[in-house]
Amino acid sequence: MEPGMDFHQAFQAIDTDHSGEISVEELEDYCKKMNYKDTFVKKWLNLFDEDESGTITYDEYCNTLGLIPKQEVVEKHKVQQTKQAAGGSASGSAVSTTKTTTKTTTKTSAKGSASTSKQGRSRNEALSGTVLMKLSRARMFQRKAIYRLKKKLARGSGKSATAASASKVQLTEKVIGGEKNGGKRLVPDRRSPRSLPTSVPHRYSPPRPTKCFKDHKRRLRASITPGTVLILLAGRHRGKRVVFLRQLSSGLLLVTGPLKFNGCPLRRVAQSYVIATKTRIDISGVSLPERVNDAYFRRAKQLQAKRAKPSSADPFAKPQSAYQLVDERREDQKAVDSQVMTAIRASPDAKMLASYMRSLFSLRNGQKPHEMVF
Amino acid sequence: MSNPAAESGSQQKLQLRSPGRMYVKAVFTGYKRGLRNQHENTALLRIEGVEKRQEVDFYLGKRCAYVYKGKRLTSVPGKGKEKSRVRVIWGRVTRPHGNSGAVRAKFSTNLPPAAMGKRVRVMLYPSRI
Repeated sequence: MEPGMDFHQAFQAIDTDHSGEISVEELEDYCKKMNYKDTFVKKWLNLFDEDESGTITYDEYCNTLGLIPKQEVVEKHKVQQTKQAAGGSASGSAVSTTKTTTKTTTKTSAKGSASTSKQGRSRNEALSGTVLMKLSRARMFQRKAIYRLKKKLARGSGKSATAASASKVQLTEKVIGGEKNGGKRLVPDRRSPRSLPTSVPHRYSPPRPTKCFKDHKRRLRASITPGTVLILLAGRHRGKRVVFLRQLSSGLLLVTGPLKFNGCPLRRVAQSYVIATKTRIDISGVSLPERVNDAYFRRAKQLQAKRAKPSSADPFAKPQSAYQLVDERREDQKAVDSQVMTAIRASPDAKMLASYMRSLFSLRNGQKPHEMVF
Repeated sequence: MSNPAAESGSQQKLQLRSPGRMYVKAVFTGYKRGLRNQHENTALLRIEGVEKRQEVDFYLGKRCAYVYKGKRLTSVPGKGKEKSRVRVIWGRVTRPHGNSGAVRAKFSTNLPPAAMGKRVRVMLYPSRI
């Protein structure tokens, strides 16, 4: 869950079909998506599901957290529920009404009704690293509520069953040349494969799926909050005290000098190369330009320049790799810095803070970093 | 970053200052060893101001550098044209050594024995505070 997301939004994020209830499957999906431990599902059910229906309703959720249910959320759920009731099968809606009135004996039947809106979703999953499925055939029968479906089919007529079996193999008549070959033959439309596997191929899945960088969890030390003064430890701005603005989606920290104070521009910095001091500036009033993100700071690709080289034969042309100051950078720097500087001036010890920001950090004789409070 | 001292546009001419020491002083005391055998892959460092094993925690994982000069000019990383005689062997502080605040470090290549008794810089990064 992103920081700053309120509880109502969180509920809606987990309740993906907006039915007004969070089912175990939705919890499991969310758990996987956010890479939580497996205990997350059980914990939530223990916490929120008071009537032990197997689902967490919006009311239960709000009760446990001590929130007032939001009107628009409740209305959204009502709309969704009426949609389900209208669109779902007759048996489906019948079960949903009984579910709300009586305390269900089996959790699976409750889930069966809730999943009418989730098409194509597998109710079963393989145990990690094996071919075995988590739920047995009997459990799956219950989950899918096939007993209801079978009754319906039986009522419908036997012809649907036979039609299904007949449509399995489609035959066409083909004329065959040559003598004594029978002239024509019934040939299946789809040929059976030349060789069939003798056993189901064992797909080995890695014990923990590897994530690509963009899916990694971004962490931020508790000591670093927006407005914290950071000391840069390496790079050309080492020793400078800069203001932390926010963490970008790549995990890098966005900082600014401000430029007038110490010559450090809007810049990205890695957490490891920074000491967080206890000095905080209140930058709640500072709004950062939308365009300042990771792509903003990315260096221009040099690939195009390399490709263009043989055609444009100018050996004296300066290589494009040198950084060029662009107007938009100046604009954004000014916009952000003016806000940050007003925030610094507004703080109780503004004068000292300003000279503090201008100063450089360094170690002196007798100073022990392991004993220092930053 | 354009040189602030040379930038004509800025009203305030920031002086090009460099900070002072951004590393903690340490000495390379020797290799990890028993009485009669030594293992050169691990170096022992004594960090200034660190007297107890409990104090070492801050320095664990920190990168350390043995800086020395050679006779021939070698290219400076990051600046293609520049050449310098200064050379570095980089390493990291791995674990404490003993009870009196000494520390073990592993370098990308083993420290040369000539480095014994010489300065090793323990940087303040990767920082955990």
